[in-house]
Amino acid sequence: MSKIMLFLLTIRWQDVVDISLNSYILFRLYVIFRNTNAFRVMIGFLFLWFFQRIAISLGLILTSWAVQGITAAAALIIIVVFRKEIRSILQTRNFKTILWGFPRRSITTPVDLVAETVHELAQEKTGALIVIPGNEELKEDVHSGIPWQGLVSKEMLKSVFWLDSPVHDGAAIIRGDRVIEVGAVLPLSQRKDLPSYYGTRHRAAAGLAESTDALVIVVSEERGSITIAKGSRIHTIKRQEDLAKILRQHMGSGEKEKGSVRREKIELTAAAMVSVLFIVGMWFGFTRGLDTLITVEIPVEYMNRNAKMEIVDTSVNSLRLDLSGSRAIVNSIRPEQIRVRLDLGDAAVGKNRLAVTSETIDLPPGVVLKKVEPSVVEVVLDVPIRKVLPVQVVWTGRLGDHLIMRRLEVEPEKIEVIGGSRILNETSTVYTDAIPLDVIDKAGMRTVTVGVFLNPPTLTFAPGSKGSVTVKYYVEERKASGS
Amino acid sequence: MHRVIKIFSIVSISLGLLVAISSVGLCVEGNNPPQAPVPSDCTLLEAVMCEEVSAQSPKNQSTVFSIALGEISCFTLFGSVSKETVVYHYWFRRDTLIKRIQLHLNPPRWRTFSSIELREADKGPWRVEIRDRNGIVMEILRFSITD
Repeated sequence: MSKIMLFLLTIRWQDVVDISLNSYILFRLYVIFRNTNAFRVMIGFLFLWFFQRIAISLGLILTSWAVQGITAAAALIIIVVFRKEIRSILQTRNFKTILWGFPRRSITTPVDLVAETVHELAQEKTGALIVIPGNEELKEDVHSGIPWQGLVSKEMLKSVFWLDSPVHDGAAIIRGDRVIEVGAVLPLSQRKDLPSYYGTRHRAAAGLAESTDALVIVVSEERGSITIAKGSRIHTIKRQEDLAKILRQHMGSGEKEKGSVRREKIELTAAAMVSVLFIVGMWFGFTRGLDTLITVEIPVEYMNRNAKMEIVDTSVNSLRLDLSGSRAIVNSIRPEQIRVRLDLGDAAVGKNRLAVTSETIDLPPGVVLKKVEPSVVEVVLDVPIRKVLPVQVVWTGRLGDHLIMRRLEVEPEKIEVIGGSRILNETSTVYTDAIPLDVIDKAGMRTVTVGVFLNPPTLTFAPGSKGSVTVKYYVEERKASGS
Repeated sequence: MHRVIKIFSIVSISLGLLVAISSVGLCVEGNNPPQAPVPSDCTLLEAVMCEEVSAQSPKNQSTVFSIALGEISCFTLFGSVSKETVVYHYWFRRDTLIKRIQLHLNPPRWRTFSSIELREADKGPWRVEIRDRNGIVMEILRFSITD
C-alpha cells in the first residue's frame, strides 16, 4: 500500500496532462478512422509490433529482426496503400469534427423510396445497378459516368434503368437525396469464387465493393433477385424491409435502431478506455522503463550576482552529470534541456564555495540525477576598481647587430584600467602587443602605434583610456667603442 | 596645623593628577608616533641599462638587448651619500621578481651596478626597480630582452 502511495506521489501534474492529451488524440484517431480499411490494417500492424516485442523478449533474433523490418515500413505502407481512404476521410471532416465531433453521415437519402423502387424493379425483372458511396471518394474507381444531379424518385430511377434508356447498363450513384451520376462504369471483380450465373452487373458490383467502402445494389434482369455487395460480402435480399435496414446501417446512425446506438456508445466507451490504458502503458514504458545511464557535460550558469562584483575566476566551467531514465527519454535528451544554475545571492568578495545540489539543476521530465562531479564549485568574486598603470613596450625578433636602440618614449605613459581589486592590486604594469625589431634596418627615429594587451581578459580599459599607445623610438648605428 | 595638612593634601592630589594626566598623554603620544618621512641616505643621480660596465662607466646604453649578449647590467650613480648605506636592485621579468641584489654605498658619491646573465627563457619585457634601504622606489628602468 505504501508503495502505491509512494508511486502516486511521484506522478506530476505534467504526467496527468501528458497521458490525458495523448489518450484523447488516440481516441480521436479511432473515432475518425474507425470502420475504414486503413484502421484495420493499423490494428494489424500494432499486433505485429507487440509480436516483435515478445520476440525480442524471448530472444528470437531472426523473428524480431524480420518483424522489426516489416513494422518499420508499416507507416509508409499504410500511407501509400490507403492514401485515398485517408485523404477522403480528412477532406470530408471539418476541424470541429476532427477535434471533438462524432462523424455521422447525414441521412437524407430516401431509404424507403430506394428500397421500394429496387423491390419493384426486381419484380418487373428490370436490371439495375445502384451505388451508395460510403466515406471514400469513388473518382478513381468509377469512370465514364454522366453527371445527373437529379432528385431521387421512383419514376426517375425506373426511367434510368428502363431497357431503352441509353444509360441503363451503367450504374447510378446516389449520394444524399440525389442521383449524382448515371451510366457509370465500375471495376470488375477478378474473384474466382463468384457463382457462375453472376453476370457483368454482379461482377461490377463486387469489384467496386472490394476496392471501396461503397454499398452496391444489383437487380438481376434474368432472375429478378436483389443482391447487395459490400466489402468482400455479397448476399441476396428477399424482403424490402431487409434492404431498407441494410441501407440505413450503411448510411449511418441517424436512423439507427436503439440497440445499435447503445452498441456504438459501448464501443466508443471501450475505445476510450483502451486508449487510456494503451497510453498509460506507453507512459510506463517511457518513464518507468529500464534505467539507462548517460553522462553529459553542462556549462555552469550563475545568477543573482551582486552588480558591484564580478566573477574573476571559477574552479570549473562545466559539470559532469550522470543521469538516468528510460532509454527512450535518455536518448532524446538535448544539452539545452539541462541547466545548472548557481545562486550568487549570498556570495562575498573572495573565494566562495557553492554546493551543486539537485535543486540547482534543471532536468527534463523523467530524468533522474545520479551524480554530479564536482559537487562543489569555487567562485572568486571581486569588486571592480580603477587603477592607473604604466605601459611597457614588448619587442620581438632581433635588432640588427649594427644598431642599438638608445631610448624610447611611450605616449601616453600610463593608462587607466578597470578590474577586480584582487587582480589589480597585484598588477603593476600593462604591456603592449609585440613590436617586431627585424623590420628596422637603419638608424633613425620612428613612430609606431600599437595596441595594449590586458591580461587577464577580465580587465578593461576605463572610459577615456585608449586601447593603444604611440611608441617613439630612437635607433643609432652601433659604435665600435660603445658610449 | 590642620590647615597645613589640608593644603598639603590638595597640593599632593593636584600633583598626582598632573602626573597621571601627563603620563597618560605620554602613553598616547608613544602609541601614535608621528609618521615623518624617513630621509634617504643618498640621492640617485643616474640610472641606466647597459650592455656592460667598463672603467666604472656604462657602455652601450639601450632599451632593447639581444640574448646573444650573454649579460646585461643596471648602472647607478648616487650622490649626497651621507653615510655608509645600501640600495637594492630588483629585477622583474614581467611582474615576477627574478633577482634582488643588495649594493653598498659609501659617502659622498658612489657608482655601483648589478648584472644578470641572459638565458633563452629570459626573453620578454623586464624592469629594474632601484630602491633605497627603506624599500622606497627611487627609479624604474624598463627594457626588453629579445632574440
